Order: sequence, then C-alpha cells, then structure tokens
Amino acid sequence: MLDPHDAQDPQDPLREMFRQAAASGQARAHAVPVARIAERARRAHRRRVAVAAGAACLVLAGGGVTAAALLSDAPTPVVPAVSPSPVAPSPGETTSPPLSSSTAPGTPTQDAPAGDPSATTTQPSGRVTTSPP
Amino acid sequence: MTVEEFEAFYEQAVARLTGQLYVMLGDLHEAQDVVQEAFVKGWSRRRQLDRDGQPEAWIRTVAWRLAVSRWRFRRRTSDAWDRAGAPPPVEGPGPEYVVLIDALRDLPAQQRRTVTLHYLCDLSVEQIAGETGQSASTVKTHLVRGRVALADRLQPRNVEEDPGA
Repeated sequence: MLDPHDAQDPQDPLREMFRQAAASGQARAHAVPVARIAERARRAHRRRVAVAAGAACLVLAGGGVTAAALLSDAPTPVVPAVSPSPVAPSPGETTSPPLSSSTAPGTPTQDAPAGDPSATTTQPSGRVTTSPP
Repeated sequence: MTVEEFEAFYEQAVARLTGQLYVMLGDLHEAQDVVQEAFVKGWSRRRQLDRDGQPEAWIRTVAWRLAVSRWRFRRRTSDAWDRAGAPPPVEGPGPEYVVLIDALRDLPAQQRRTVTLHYLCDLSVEQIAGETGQSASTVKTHLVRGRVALADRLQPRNVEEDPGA
C-alpha cells in the first residue's frame, strides 16, 4: 500500500490522506482580515524604529561619557610651589610655625617678643628688617 | 510587490498555507498563529517577496521557523517548570484529531516537514532541498523513512476500520 517508490503517483492514497487532512484544517481555519496584518506590521515597524533610535542614543551617550572620562584623566596642571620661609627655624623653636606665609608684606608682625623695643616688619622680598624704636 | 498585490496574495494563499502548516505542525491554532506571524513579517519585506518569486514558499518557511522557535521556547519553559517541581501539563485529544495528523506527530519534525512538502505541496525533491536547505539525498532519505513510518502507524488503523480487507 505505502511503497516508497510510488511516491509520485497522483492517485497515491497517502497523498490523498494528506490533502484531506489539510482540507480539514483549512476549512476550520479562519483568517484574520488583511487590514489587521498590515496594522500589526506597521506597529512592529514603529517598534523597530523606536528601538533603533533608543540604541543609537545609548551609543552616543555612552561614547560621550567615555570620551569625557578619558579626557578627565589628563594630568592636572601643577600648582606653583610656595617659596620657603627665609628664616630658618632654630633647632629649639619647634612650636611656632613660620610666619612669612601668613603675614602680609609690609605689615608689622603681631607676635613680636615682649620687651623687644624694636618692631619687626616683613618686606615684600621676604627679608625681615628691624627698625629702631 | 505592492500593497494591493500583497493583499491579493494574502487572500488567496492564507487558507492554503494554514492547511499545510496544520499538517506539518499537528495543531490548527499553532498553524494559524505562525502563518499570521509570517504574513506580518512578509508585509515589511514585500519587495523581497517579489524578488524571490516564490512568496508562498517564503511564508511557509518563515512560518515553519517560527513554529520551531516556539517549540524550543516551550521546551525550555517546560524544563524550567520541571525544575521548579510544577506538574507537567496534560494534553487531551483535541477536536482536530485526525488519523494522519496523529501519525505525523510521531515523526521527527524535519521528516514531517519533508513528507508534507512532498505529498501535500507537490514539491519535487530538488524543490524541497531548496526550500529546507537540505541535500537532495537527505530529502530522499526523509521521504523513504517517513513513508515507511507512516505505513507502520496507519496500517493497524486501516485494518481495524476495515476488518474484511
């Protein structure tokens, strides 16, 4: 009955069974209107476009963030060093910090030693001069 | 292919393709879904359909691939349910029960597709090879084995139906 060699026979009972089965499914199937197919296709197209646009935005934003991060890693300019105080602290003076950095040029210092008749001023050049009373 | 041509093609091919996919898949609702989905994809590729010159074969192939993807997804989902300890779904015989469809369900998917393309869509071995991407010898093997397997499965039913034969 089902010899593989007679597969091309149009009167093949197996072929007829296939056609009957397909016809039964075809008869019970109900096709949606083509307008719904078109609407679904347009919606899918809009979704694809939106996803592509979102992906492009993400790529651009990511590239921008990466570029900013790379640029911020460049070496920062070195701050000029502060000139050291010309008065070297004596080995015994360990508690008082140098005053040259906090004293405005040309102004008398406030912490002059008591009893010292002379006033000490700091010159713009950083030199300390003592003027007679 | 213009919009009007696509609509005409849909009107005259959708029922036939649904019947073909029904035989291939063994499930009418599944066949309707994948055919509809394939037409949705085909709408966006109307020019490609026109260029290939075989829009029906394109829709059929896409529908089949969609069905295979769904099988794989369902199998993964089923595996996940099994791992979770949920009871497996029990499917009873559906109203679309047909002897041949039931017999075809026991065949491997690719064999079922090949046999259906040959016996229902009247495609030659070369045409089946072109549509499925298999070699001609593989198609022939599927046809022979499928026919023998169907003979084994259909013969007892025929004997039961016609005891005097």
